[in-house]
Amino acid sequence: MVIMSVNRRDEVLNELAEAIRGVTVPGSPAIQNASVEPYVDADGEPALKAVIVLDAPEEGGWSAEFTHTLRGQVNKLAAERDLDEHVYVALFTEEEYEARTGADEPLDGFGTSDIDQALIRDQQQDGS
Amino acid sequence: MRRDFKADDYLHLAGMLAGRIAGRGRPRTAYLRRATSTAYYALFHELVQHGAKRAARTGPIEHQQAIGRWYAHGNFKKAARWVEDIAAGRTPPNPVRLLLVDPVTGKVPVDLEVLASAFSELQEARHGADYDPAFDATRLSALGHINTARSGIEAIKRMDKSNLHQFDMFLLLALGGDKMIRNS
Repeated sequence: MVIMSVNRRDEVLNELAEAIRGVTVPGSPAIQNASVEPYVDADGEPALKAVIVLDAPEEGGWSAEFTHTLRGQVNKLAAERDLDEHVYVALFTEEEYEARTGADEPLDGFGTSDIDQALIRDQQQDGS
Repeated sequence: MRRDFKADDYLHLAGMLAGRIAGRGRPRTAYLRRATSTAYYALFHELVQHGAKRAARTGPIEHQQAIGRWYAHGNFKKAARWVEDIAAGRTPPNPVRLLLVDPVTGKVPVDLEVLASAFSELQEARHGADYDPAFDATRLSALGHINTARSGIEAIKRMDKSNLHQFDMFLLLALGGDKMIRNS
C-alpha cells in the first residue's frame, strides 16, 4: 500500500477525475463531468466513488457493456495512480444530477400508477 | 412442490418496477429501490444455484440445497473484488491469482470478469437501495442494474456450459472468502 500525504492524495483524486473525464467508450454516451470522492462501502471498507455525469443513454438504461467497460477503465486508472481502494461508479445524466437534492415525486404524468396497472395485468395473465 | 429461485422472473419483476414497459418517466423511489434490489437477487441466486449444482454434481437435490446455504453475500463480494483487482492491475494474494488467472493468457477469463464486475456493482447498489437514505435511485440506473444482472447471469451460464476451471475456483473461493486464503 502506498502512503500519501493528505494534500498529495487530494491531488491524485483530482488527477483521477481528470483522467476519467478523458475516457471514451465507442458508441456510448459521452462523459461531461467527473469527480472522485472518498467513500465507505457496504462492508465498511474504505473505497472511492466516481460520480460521472454523462449524456443520456438510449431508452432502456445504461447498457451492461458500457458500465462494465467504464468500471474496468476507472479502476485501471486508479491502480495506475497507486490507489488501492476500489472505485465505485455512479452515473447520472445532467438532469438527474441536478435533481439529486429535489423532492421525491414523479416528474412526469407517467409514474407509479402505470406500473401498478402493468403489475396487475401481469398477475392476471399468470392466473388465467 | 419445489419453488426455485428463477432469475428470469426476478429480472421481469425488476423491469416492471423500474417501469421498463411503461415508457419514459420516473417511478417512485421505493419502486426503483426494489428494482435494484431485485436485480441483485436475480444474479445472486443464479450464482448460488450454479455453485451448488457444480459442487454437488450428480448428488440429490437436497445436497444442492444444503450447499447453496453455505454461500454468503460478503464472501462472493470478496471473491469478485479479487477478480476485479487482477483485471485492474492490482495485486491480490498469490493463491488467488494462481487460481483465477488463465495460465495461457495470463489474464482472468472475460466472462469471470463480467460476472465479478456485475456482482460487485450490484451488491453495493443493493445495500444502498435497501438501507441508505441517500441512495441515488434513478430510473436509468435501476434499468442499468437490471441490464448488468442479465449480463452477469449470461456470463454464468456460458462459464457453466463450458466448464470453465477458473469459474469453479471462483466458486470455491466464494465459499470461504478471506478466511480460506489466510490458511493457504
